[in-house]
Amino acid sequence: MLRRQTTLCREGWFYLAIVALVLGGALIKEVNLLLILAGMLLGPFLLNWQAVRATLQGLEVRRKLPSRVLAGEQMAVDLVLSNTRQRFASWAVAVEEQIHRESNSNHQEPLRPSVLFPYVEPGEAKKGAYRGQLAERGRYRLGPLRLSTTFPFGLFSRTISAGPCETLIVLPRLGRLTEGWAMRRIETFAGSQRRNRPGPEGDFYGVRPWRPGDGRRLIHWRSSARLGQLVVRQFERPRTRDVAVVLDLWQSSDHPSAEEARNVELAVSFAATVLADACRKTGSNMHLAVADGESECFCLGGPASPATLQGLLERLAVAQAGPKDALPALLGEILPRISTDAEIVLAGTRPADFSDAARFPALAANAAMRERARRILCIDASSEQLARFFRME
Amino acid sequence: MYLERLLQINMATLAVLGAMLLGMGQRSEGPPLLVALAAVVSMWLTDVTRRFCLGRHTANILMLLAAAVSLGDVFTPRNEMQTFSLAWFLIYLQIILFFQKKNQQIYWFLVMLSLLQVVVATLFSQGVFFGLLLATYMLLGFSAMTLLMMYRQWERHQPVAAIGTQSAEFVCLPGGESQSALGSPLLRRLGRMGLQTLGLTFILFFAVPRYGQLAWRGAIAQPQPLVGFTDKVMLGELGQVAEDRGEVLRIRFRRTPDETPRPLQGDVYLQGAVLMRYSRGQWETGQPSVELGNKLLVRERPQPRCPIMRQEISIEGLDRKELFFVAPFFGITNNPDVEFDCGRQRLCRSGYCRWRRFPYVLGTTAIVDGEQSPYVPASESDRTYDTRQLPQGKDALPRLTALAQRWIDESKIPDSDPLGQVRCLERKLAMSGQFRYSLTGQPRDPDLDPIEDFVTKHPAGHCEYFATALTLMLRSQKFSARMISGYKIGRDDWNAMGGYYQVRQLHAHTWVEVRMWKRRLPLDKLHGRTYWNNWKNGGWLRLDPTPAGAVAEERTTWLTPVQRRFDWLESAWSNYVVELDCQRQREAVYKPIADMARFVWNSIINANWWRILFESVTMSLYLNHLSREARWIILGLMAVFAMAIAVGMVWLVWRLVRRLTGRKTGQRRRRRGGVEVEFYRRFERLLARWGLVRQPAQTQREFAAEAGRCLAERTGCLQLAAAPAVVADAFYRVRFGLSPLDNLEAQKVEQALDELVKGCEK
Repeated sequence: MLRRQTTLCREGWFYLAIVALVLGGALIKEVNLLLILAGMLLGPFLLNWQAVRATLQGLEVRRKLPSRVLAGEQMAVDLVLSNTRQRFASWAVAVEEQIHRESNSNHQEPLRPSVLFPYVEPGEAKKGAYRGQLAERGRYRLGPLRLSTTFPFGLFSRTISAGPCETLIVLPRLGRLTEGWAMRRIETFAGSQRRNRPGPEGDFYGVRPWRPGDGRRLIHWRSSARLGQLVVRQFERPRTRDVAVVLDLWQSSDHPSAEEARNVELAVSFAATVLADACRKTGSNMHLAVADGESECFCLGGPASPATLQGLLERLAVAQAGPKDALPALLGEILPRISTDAEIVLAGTRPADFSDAARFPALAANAAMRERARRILCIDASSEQLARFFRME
Repeated sequence: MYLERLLQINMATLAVLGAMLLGMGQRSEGPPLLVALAAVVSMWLTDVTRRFCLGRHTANILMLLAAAVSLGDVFTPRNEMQTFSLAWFLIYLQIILFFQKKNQQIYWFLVMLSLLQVVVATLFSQGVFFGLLLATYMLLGFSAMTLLMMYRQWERHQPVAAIGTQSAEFVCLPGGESQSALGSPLLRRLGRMGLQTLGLTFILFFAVPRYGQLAWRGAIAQPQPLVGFTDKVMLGELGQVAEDRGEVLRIRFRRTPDETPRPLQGDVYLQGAVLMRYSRGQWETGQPSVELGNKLLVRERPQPRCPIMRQEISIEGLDRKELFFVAPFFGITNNPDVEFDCGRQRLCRSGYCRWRRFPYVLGTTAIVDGEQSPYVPASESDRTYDTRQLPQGKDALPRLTALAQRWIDESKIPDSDPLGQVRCLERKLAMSGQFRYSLTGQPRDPDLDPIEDFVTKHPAGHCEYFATALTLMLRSQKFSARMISGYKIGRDDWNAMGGYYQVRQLHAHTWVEVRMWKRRLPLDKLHGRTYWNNWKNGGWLRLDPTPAGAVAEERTTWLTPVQRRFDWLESAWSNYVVELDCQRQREAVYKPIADMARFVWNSIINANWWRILFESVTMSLYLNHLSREARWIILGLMAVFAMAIAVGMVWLVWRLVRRLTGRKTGQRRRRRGGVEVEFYRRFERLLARWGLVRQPAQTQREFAAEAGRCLAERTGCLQLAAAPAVVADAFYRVRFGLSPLDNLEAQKVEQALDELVKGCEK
């Protein structure tokens, strides 16, 4: 890894050639004025070499990352350059960032945004920034930062590495759920309410005096005895349900086509958007199960909250597609762990036919699971179906 | 924009200064004027208003044309012309580049072209002023290269410049404005670097060993006109004699080529032209002699057996072909480029050599006992009738003749003492006080011959009047006399460092020679008698009727001390810079250093030196009555004490400097108020456009509140009115809370500023 390096710039080579010619001519022909000129040319050359070394001494650079970055969204990274020296200022210092995407399958060159600090006084700090978008989700490694300068004459360039390396997780790009998605949820939600009647459901809220029409099952006998009048239990009516997103990231090979890669990203974005939507509806639990190309499958969950959502999105950010079919095993693992009335959404890159006993032998053998699987909303990102519920922005 | 404009101005100045250096070498005002004009016009048309810009192809075609035009002289035999061609080619290229749209490459080319012009300029003959300008050029070059570097960096990190690169999605916001880097700290830094470079140049220049015997003195770009010397004197022509300090020639005298040159005693007269005929205020040389013809300068055989002196002369490129010498001369080397015009009695160089610096060596017998003899042997070809000619008829000079006769009569010197009569007339003109030396033009009676006017009505004039008056007076008394035009130098003009006399234009002089027959000549003062055929044709006695004291008085002005110092500087520059060769370097640099080192070393290792030092110190401290041991102890304690005081002083000075610099740094920090407050400065500038300026007594918040009220009243836009408060809050947070803004806050501030900008534009 580059730590510190001083190089002669292209202009420096030209300059050196001229100095050599002038000096040679002066010595051979004994032209004293030319020798003076050679000295005046040699001075800047040597001083530039010394100056680029001195300029970068005592400089410290800090990076301030944003708390959350979404793919395709603007992000701003602040760079603070501090001159810790007491006497010497620094001019024209460029701080170059290096942004590598981990698991970079295309072997792309790292991005190198570079920020110029024209002047940093002794004992002071200056703040610069770079703003931009990272188009792809995933884990990125930032750094080390490279400080470089050619001050003052641009003949020599010195570069040193400084500042720590940091990791930045770029969350999946979020889209917008359409009207169709909202309608579908309402329908599904209403249907489930009808199905669960009669019978109290929801969390206990309190007791109130009996009124005509109240069912006997609702009478709280112990409180009625204590108060000397009939009181009934009152329940909070549930308005949300748990949401479980199952993501099937399958692709035909390790080197997918562009279409397949696009479908994978669509599926991930859809899953992330559904989870973000669920997070806004308080009171429900969120589950994420991913048939990952690398770790086969995993399942996370928790009460809907920004923290849970952050965790789930970070996991989604690093999810990888693969040719292995991990969905049957994932379903077998997750379905027993999710409440029976949870809304399960399967987002995948290919159609899922749960009646296929060869592919889903566990479902074929278990009627209850088969019944639950029947209620899973399957959305194939490679089909037109996704467009009914989801749109990328 | 500010940075680029500054760079453009710096580039233009650098180019003009480079061209000026070149023009100094060429002795021509053309290059600097042309480049200055092009720089100004191009800055206005191409850089500022962008009305005119040469396309790339057009510029290339123009460059080819420039090459065809200017490099036509490359194949000429004269090196100077080739250098001229190259210089003009560089200037043309520079002008073409001026009118192109500037980018980093064009700026770099401009710097390099200017540098090459200076390289060419160093090949010409240059004075000390060139050195001063070269140092200025160096500093200007430093600033140009620094600005170019900053411009390049700034362009590279501009958001627009990032498009099409890997970081296409990123916009980089620099950590400060470009102007912030261009303050006095940068100037101080560059100034320090300039001093370091000068120090390095000094060491390099004197340390690099020379191996040749003669250093390059520089090519003569253009012959300089001779303003003092002429072979046709016109009295009353000059309004005011110009005191030109331009160098004409250098001359040194020595017996052998290896002898160290020494100055002569008294004045030295260098003959140029012999003026014979006078008519209506005009002197002319004699007619060319067909029978005598011209003679090439060859080594005389045999050489005189008497003591001879070598005249080693190096004359500059001049617009006249006359050469100057101490008469009488004879050849001691063959020189086919020099010939002697026997009829006109003058030495000339061939036309081609006239344009360049020209060295020649002559011999003379006239230096006797370290002094130039006033007698010159006459030759058979000296025509008596020419040297006795007086205007006749209506051009006659009755007043001058009468005055000469009156002086002779008054002196009562008999005719048998012609030398006495001659000296009498000389003294009357030079020392009587009746005639005054003046370089300024005098009113003359147009009805009179100028010399008649000089001797009767307006007795003031320069050397030509005095010499003319004496010559014609002598002729009126039947003497053979002639006027000599040349140069007169004295001991003040001896360059001790270089070991030569430096003859300048202002040393031009005219004097008189009167012919003395052999029997009238003082035999003990005749030189080279065996060689000059025992002076059988008699000789010429040099007479100088110009009041010497008056000359000195007249020439001394308030600028004279400055000029003398400048002369010294010029002389030092010429001897120890331009013409520093192997021998001079050894004598002036190596030898003193070696001697000093040897002395120090010998002193250190010499116990006797230490003993003497010890004794002298004890004597001066009145400790010599003590025993030796006591003296050693006291001196040792004093040495330790002195060392402790010295260390303490150094420590105190160091602390003082640290404290001062620390305080300055702290003040600067407080004054600027941190780094992120740059947005507040922008805010104040924006509000200044609305005419809102913070009063010294106002805090930032008070100012923001007042500004908000004003903006609300003027625009009716409440959002705009709230913007100052946002900026002020952020300022307080940064300035006094010492915590930098996070992204969100920074964006809010930027939004507020944007709103102010938009509001201002509406």
